[in-house]
Amino acid sequence: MEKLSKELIGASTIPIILSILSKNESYGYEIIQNVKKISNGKIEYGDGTLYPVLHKLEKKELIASYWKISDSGRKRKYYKISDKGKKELFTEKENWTVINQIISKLWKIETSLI
Amino acid sequence: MENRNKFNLKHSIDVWKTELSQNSNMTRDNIDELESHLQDEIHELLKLGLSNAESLLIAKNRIGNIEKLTTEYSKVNNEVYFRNTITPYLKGILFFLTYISIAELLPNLSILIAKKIGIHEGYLHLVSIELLILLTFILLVFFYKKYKHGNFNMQKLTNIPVLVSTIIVSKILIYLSTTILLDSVEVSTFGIMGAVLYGYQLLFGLFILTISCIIYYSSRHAHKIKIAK
Repeated sequence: MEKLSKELIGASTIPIILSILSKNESYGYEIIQNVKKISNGKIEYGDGTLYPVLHKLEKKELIASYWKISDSGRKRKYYKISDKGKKELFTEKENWTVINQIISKLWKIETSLI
Repeated sequence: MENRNKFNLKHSIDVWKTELSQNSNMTRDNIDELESHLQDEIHELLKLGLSNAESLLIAKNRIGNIEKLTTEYSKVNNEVYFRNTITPYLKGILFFLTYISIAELLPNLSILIAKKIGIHEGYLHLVSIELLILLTFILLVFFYKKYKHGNFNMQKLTNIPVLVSTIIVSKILIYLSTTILLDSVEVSTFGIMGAVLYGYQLLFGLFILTISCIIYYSSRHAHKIKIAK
C-alpha cells in the first residue's frame, strides 16, 4: 500500500490529532493506531516522532496532558483537547474545506476539458 | 523460566530507560511516556506469540534509536538541552568553590587547635599547611578507594543544594571564627596564615593542572576526546 508523502502527512498532522482528541481523550499509542486504522495504513506516524508533536501542541495550549491509570492498570499519559484547540480545529476545518473546494473545482474543470 | 523471562524484560526496559536518561534532551516525563508506549507495543507483540526478548527488540526498533529520538525531542526540549549542557560546568565551579571555602576555613581552625594545645604562634604556619595537605590527602585516598570499589557516586558529591549549603556554612564559620580570633590573636598571624593558604592553593592548582594535562594528553593519544561532553 502506497503511503502519502511526508509533506502531506506533516501538514495534516495537527488537524488529524486535534480531530481525534475532539472525539475522546487519548494517549500516544492509541492515537497512532487510530490514525493507521482510519487512513487504511496510508498514514503511519513513527512511534518516537508523534510525542514531540504532541508536546508542541501542548506548549501552544491546544491540548492538555495528564497521567492516569488506565483500565488495564497501567499508568498512561493522556491528552485532551483544550478550548483553544477546539477553535484551532475549527479554523483548520475551514482551511482544509477551502483547499478541498479549490482542488475539486480545478480537477472538475480539467476533467471536463479532457 | 517464565519468572526469569519477566525479570529480564523488566531489567532490559530499565537499561533502555537509563540509556535514554543519559541522553541530554529528554525529561523524566518524556521517558516515562515512551516507556508506557514501549509496554503497549510489547503487550501487542506478546499477544502475537513472540517471546519477551523478540517483543522488546521490535518495540525498541519501532520507537527508534537514541540519536533519532534526540533529534526529534530537540525540537521541543531546547531549554532542557541548554540546562543539561550547562549543569556539569556549574557543578564543577561549585565543587571547586566548596573546596576553596573549606580550605579557607582551615587556617582559622589550625589557629584554634594551636591555641588549645599550646603551640607557639611562630609554628602556626607549619600546623596549618600540614592540616591542609593532610585533609587533601585523606580526601583523595577516600575518593580513590570508593572509585576502585565501584561505589563512587559523583551525583551525590556534586549535588547542587549540598554544595551551595556547604559554601554558605563555610563562609559563615570563617566570619565567626575570624571575629572570635581577632580578640586573642595578633593581626600579623592572619597575614602569615593567608600566605600559607596562598601557598597551598598554588600547590593544589599545580596538582589539578598536572592531572588535567595527563588526562588531556592520554585522551588525545587514544583519539577519544570529546570536547562537547
